[in-house]
Amino acid sequence: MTAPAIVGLVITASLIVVVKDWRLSLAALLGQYVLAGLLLTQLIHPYVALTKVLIGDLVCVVLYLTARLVSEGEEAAEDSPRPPSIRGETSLPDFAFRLLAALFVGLAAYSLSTHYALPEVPADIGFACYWLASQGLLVLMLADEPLKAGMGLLTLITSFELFYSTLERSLSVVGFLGIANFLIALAIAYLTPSTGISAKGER
Amino acid sequence: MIAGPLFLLVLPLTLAPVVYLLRRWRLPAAFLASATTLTMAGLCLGLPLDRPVSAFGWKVALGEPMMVLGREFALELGGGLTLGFIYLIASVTFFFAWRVSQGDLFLPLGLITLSLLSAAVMIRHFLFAVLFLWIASIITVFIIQSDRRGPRRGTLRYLVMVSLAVPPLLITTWLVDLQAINPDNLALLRYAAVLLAIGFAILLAVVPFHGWVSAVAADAPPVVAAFVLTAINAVVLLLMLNFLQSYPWLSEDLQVFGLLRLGGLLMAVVGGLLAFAQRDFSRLLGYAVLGDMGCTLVALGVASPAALTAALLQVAHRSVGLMLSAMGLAVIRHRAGSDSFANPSTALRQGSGRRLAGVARRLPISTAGLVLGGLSLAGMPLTAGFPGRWAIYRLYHSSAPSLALIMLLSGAGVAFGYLRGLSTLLSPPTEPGVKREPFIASLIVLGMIILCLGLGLRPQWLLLPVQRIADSFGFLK
Repeated sequence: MTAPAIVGLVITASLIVVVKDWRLSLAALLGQYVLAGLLLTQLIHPYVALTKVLIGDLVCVVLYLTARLVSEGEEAAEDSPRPPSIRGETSLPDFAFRLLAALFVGLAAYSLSTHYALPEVPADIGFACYWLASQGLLVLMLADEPLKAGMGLLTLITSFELFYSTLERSLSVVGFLGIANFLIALAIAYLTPSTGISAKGER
Repeated sequence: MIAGPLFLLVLPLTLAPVVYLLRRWRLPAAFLASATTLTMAGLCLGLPLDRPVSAFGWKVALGEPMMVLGREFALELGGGLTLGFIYLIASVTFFFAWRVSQGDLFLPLGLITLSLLSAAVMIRHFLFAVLFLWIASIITVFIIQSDRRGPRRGTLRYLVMVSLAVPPLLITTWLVDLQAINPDNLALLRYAAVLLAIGFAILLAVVPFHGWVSAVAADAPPVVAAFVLTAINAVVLLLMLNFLQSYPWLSEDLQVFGLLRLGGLLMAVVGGLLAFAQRDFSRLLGYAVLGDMGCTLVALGVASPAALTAALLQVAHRSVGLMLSAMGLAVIRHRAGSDSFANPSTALRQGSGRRLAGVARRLPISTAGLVLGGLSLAGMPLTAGFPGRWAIYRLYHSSAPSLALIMLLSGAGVAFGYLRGLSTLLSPPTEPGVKREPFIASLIVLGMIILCLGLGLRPQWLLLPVQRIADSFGFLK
């Protein structure tokens, strides 16, 4: 089960980098939480892993509702001169650049995982942590709007949690990390531009 | 008998929803938030830690530890005085927000932030202190963004940077615990020191992680920016000192203090240079704070009790200068709708800068507050910022005069930026219609001006509590 979950994490994290469409990115983020939860069941108590998956689901629900509202508002205001804030139309050069960047950064992550193996976690899960962290950072560097940057930040935190859950098993720490994840999702929702919504309201 | 930490944690949290419900009525909301924080400040600064006393009909033992979910919270001398000072500043800030709104969420979320920061200061375990600080910082994102629609790069950058600082700090605690079990494995300590340096460098905005300070200053309402930069920075500094106090292997390592000196120097240089080049007061405020924070770290790099006192005095005095400058700026932005003092041609292109021309004639007190606060951040004589800076210059004048000169030049860069802004504010007005300043807000700014000048002339007002905080850290000999 480990190998398919790691392959899944590699694909979902890379999808968040490469794809601009918010629906696909969000689906990838949701998949990432489920797969990270699957890996965590091998490292920590399954109930704790399940809790983390549930928090991830909540995060995705918050982001989905926000993105949908903004997207609807922007579709309603298509004639508006303002640029769309979250709709993702990826041009071919942009797509190719993102794919190449994801691959290069992924290679660097692979190299790091072989030279500086993370302690206390199996090598393959260590690789998954490095991959998620590198792709999360890449999204943060490439993102030009809060929703996408938020997904990058959440990917980075998922990577950290995957590693840190084996080091610190205290339930209070799990609780704190869950609260932080949820608050970050709320903050991202709050920051996501509502230009489309206001434009719809003006009509 | 009630343990003191319970008051500090629960009272602001309980009153935050009430303040939120009252947010449309700014007077009662601001009054309640201000009174709450003033009470907290009174508790922290006025009550003794070593014995219970009667307060508000209850018997309160401020220094009594309290257990919550198996974790111990306790208020110690350094933490108590720091929290008291933060609550005092917050009280003035909240009252000011009555007249010059800083966003609907500022008062309730400000109270929640203060409660979480109190928890970060009082909890014994460093790991949980970092987690409380992280959650407090995420909450401040909402007040930095305020009620405005549309993305703000500063807010996002702040959220990202704070979140990036947390993993290294959490892993540090694990490494330190692991080293306690394996005392022969010194490599663990090396990794812990590196991770700790990265985490604190991000939180303290050491170059190259400094971008969020100016971005927050530019994007947040001015008083909110000052609140965040004062309260969170003070708690981060306290956590760092507590960590150094707890782990002698770290505080005995001279390289740690060398790193602090280097980081601080970079901040002072970058802050001073970039402040010199700014064309709007918000960013200028951000870079002025960056330069001043750099001087604090340079002082800590001396690793002596006198240096710690000088650094803490500067932190306390900085908050006065910062708050004063932010309040003046808030009134000017509120009345003139701009804070850009770009030259006429740039202003014509941007359609903003000329609005500030002649504003000093309509808003004299706010202008005085803005510029005096800025000069205080630059460490100019007769202002609150001077005594701390002077003490730091004296620390270096014989051993490394070039460092003292660099800090002096950094301050000159900030001062030049403010004086250039002042020349725009004093120039003949080109646009009519800037209203006179609000009376109550002007009174608060005037009070802060007097305090800023008073602290510049009589720094001993704050020296005693600062000395007590410094004495509570025994790791510097």
